[in-house]
Amino acid sequence: MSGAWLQRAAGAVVLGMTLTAPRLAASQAPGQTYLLVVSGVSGEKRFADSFHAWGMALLAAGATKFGIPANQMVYLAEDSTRDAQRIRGRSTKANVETTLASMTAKARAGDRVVVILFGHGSAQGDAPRFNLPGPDMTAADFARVLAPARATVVFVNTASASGEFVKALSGKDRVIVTATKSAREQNETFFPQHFVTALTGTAGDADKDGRVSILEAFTYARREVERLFEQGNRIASEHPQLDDDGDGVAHEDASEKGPDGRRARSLYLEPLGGVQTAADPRAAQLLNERRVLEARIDSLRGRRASMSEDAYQRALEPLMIALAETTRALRALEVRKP
Amino acid sequence: MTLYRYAMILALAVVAPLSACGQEGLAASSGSPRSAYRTGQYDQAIARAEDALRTDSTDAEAAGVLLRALIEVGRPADAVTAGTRLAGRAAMAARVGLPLGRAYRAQGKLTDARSAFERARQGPDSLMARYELALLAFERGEHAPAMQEFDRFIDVYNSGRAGLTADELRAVALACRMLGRNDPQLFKDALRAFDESIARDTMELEGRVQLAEMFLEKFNGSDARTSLDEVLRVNPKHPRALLAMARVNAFEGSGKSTELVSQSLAVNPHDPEARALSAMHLIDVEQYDEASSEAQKGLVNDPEAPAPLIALAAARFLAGDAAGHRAALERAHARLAGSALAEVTLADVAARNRLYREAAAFAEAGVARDGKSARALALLGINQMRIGRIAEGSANLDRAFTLDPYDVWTKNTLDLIDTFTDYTELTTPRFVISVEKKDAPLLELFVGPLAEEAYDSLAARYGFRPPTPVRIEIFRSHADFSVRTVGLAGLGALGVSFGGVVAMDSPAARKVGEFNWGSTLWHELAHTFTLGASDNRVPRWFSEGLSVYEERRARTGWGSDASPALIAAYEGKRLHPVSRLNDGFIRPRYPEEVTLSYALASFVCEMIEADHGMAGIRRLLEAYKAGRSTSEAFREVLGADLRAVDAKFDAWFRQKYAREFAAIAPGEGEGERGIHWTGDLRTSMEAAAAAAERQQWEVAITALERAKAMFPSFAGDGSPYHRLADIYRKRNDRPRAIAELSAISVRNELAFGENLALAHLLESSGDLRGAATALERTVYITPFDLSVHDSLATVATRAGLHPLAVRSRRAIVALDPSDRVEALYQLAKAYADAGDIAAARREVLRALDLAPNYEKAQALLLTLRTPEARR
Repeated sequence: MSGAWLQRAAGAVVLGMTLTAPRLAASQAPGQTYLLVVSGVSGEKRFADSFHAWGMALLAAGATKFGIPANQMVYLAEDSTRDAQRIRGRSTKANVETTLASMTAKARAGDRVVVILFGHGSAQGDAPRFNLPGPDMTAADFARVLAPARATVVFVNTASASGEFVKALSGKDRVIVTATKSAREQNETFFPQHFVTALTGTAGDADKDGRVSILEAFTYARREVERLFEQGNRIASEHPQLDDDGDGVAHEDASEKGPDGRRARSLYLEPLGGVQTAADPRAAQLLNERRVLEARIDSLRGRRASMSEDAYQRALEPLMIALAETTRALRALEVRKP
Repeated sequence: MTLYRYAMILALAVVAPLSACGQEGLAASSGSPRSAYRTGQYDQAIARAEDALRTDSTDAEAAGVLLRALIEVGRPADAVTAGTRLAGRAAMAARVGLPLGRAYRAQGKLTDARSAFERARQGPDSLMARYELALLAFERGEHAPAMQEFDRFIDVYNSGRAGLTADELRAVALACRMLGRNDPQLFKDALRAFDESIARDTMELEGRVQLAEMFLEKFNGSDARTSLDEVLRVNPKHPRALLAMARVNAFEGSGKSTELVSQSLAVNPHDPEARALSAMHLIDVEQYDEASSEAQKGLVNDPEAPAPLIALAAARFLAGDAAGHRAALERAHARLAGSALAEVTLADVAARNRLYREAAAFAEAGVARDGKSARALALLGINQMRIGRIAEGSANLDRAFTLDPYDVWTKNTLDLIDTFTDYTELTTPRFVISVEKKDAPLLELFVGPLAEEAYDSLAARYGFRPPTPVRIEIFRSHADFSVRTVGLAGLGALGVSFGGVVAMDSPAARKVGEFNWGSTLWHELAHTFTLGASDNRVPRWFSEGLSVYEERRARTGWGSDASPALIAAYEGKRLHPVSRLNDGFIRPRYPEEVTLSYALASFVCEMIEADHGMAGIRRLLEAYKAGRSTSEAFREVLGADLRAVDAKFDAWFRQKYAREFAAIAPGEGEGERGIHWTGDLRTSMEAAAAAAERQQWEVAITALERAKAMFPSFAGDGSPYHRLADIYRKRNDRPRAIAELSAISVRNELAFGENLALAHLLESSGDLRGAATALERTVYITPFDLSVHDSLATVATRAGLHPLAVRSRRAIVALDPSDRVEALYQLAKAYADAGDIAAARREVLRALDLAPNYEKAQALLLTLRTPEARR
């Protein structure tokens, strides 16, 4: 665990995160996460088992990795008796709506309301829906319940036929992720297992900053789904989408370059502090040196297009070595602290 | 802007329903010469017509039937005699002019034919006679006036369509078909005129046959078949319909073509076109002397008929008889002024016999003779593509498609060429490898090294080094590979070698376990050597046999070995002897015959090497290069005639697999459905299955061990090894499970899952090198499985096989993993372990470029700077 000398301006310090990613942290406002996990009608035991496993994995990561307080996480499932301790109730429309209403009411601006759905979707007429025990919930139902939210909303529908949820839920300060492009993609989806793997583990951490952003988790899952179909020489029956610019048009190739992906890039489930500071003058100096080096690396990257690969690497290497040495020095300071 | 290329389709949709041509109408006039003629009772038709003419020598219908029937059964001389006699009467001169002219024409007496057609111009057949005259002019090379005359038929149609008879409309259709040469849209007008002609006289069959011929010319075999089916339903002996149906079957790759030609020749034994096609079939099975004799039989009535002369030229060319080829071609040219017909046929035949360079040369000569021959241009383009002249080939295909937008082969190939922008070329010392860009980083790790290894191995064996670079094209879509090879989707093959160009399915083109891309590449490269060493004159059976044999030599488990189906087929006499083994490839009688013939041919090659050494195989290839037939080559090199080689191989094969022959009996109910087998092996397998059902594992094991001993090379799905491995795995008997899985993996090149299972067991037993070997085998089944490379990298690192670990880590990076940073970091570590510090630093910097604060990578970077690392 980090020593007392290294403090964040606000928020909790997360395991293994002590020294990483101050640039992104700087852009992340402090805030609380409210997590709602819903598993819908399964239809078959193997689906029920998968949905349950994913839900439990998210709850576990929520508590440990993301540091979300227990009273801010709710798991509603088709069979609430399966784990009465952790499943807060049956995933009926009424329960989902009540929980969401409560969360949106509690969450303030700067907080995050994260909704993750596992199950099957369908579309009847113009109404895309998520299949729940009893009445289904349509995209419009979710839009209505989430309408009052002041917090950032992250809505992840991993079900089949989920693509049409984008239009209904897209908006300012919202990130909408769906497993499919449209309601016509109605096969079992492979997206959720990879999304959960990315979010709860380390494989999705593309930039190795110790955290997995919503964009990183989405990108990881999307690529794994693509690989699955490509490797099996099959025509893809699902095309994951992300929309975070509020225009209601989602993109499969969402990235930090936009148009979609810029917001999701800096959204994490864990509450974060702001800029790292240190009481120890040596540590403060090293942190400052690191920021300078990172800025120089960024600047070099900006000139990359005009350089050969060899020249770029020659220029990059001393900067990376200096950065690595700074990190090592910071680690050494940490070790010396009582 | 994207330009789309559309192939025009000439389809049957607008043609009158065939039910109009029913038996009812025929019944109404049964007993007449015409009805006998229409139903193929030619002798009766002739006799009845002669009777009728004896009664009334001005009976024009009887005269027409008589002459047409005599021509159709191959008696044009008798038709001329009868026609001349009938034309002696002033009233009949014009009326019999048309059939008389055709009778002269069938004898090659073109001046007489012209006079007869001129006389017919004065009678009721005037328009058809004008067509025949224009056609004669066209064939004399007078293209411009002939085309002008054909063009006038459009005016005739437009000014008096309603008053035209069925025959006149057919003449219009035929003229429009000729005009299609200048304007492909006119083929549609031809179709319309045929349709109206058929609607006007539903009993007339000639128009339907000609319509079918036009469909086939425009690459529509399906509608051609429909038209011909109707004709043959009414007249099953119609020789031209049978011939056209034979062509449809040849077009569709059906083996029934030969039988249909024989049926056609049974009616008209002297038909030059049928004899020519029959000769072509003999050429396909490399019986060139027999093909020459067959072609000569087509010259009985017309000694200068082009079709048999072209077939003769083709047979002599392939037999290496340059003088005979030239003489036949010159004779054919005498009647083909300004036509590319001979060159088109020769190019096609040459390409079918893998002589792609020669095919391109023939096609080029055809284009020189007739610059408007779309077929010659298409064959030029396609064969240039096959010999690696991609840009020229593409340009010529473009020209061909402009002239003939119905040519779906050309259209498909042009579409494929358009996708070449998605491909990139990798180069190795002896190869240029064209692969889809996104697969290039992965495939370059495997394809190039294997190809280079094959080149060295095969060059040493064959004492021949093909000119380099050899081009290898790898297609991610099987349909694209198929188009590249034959112009159409649906080819069953996995790869093809044109000599200096190899095309094949990408490992990603098929489901995992359907083929082994490594053995396929080796197989095709072996063709490149055997084709090159024989100047492309090696017969198909020998080239395929050598390629399979070389697969077996390349890696344990690659290539076909003896299987129960092979032994059953051989024992059941379902495979040809060595002397006729080519038939098994060209005219398979049941679906498995081709693949079983591959295997059998490989054993013939194995026997030859066993008896005569590699020198014997080289000398055989040299003999083929010198133009020897198989019979001559065998006598010269093996010192035995065909029959002796057949007998020798039979004895050798039966001795080599005596144990297997004893265990297999051909099953009952064999036929076109395929090969079934029974015998002791089956009995033991069934006994094992029954015991397993009762969970009497020891009994099952004993039966399976017995089965294994009966047929050790049988390691396909459901083999005794598989069942034993299952039993041992269930019983957690790891050593025995390993033994069975090992046996499968060295006998079955498609054993993907078995190799993975074996690797897992070996790894957990501490045999890391064995595990690595098993995993490496799977890479030749598919290199696209990231998890396999990950396992292989891990095992290889632990076993100290650092180069293998590096290759596996590179493969993971090439597969563009979701966790790219980690993959690059692991690659850097693998390089460091292998002692390649420069590469390790390069890769760790790539990782850090993506994730500057990745502490593991930072630590590695710092480590790589230490003196220890540098050492």
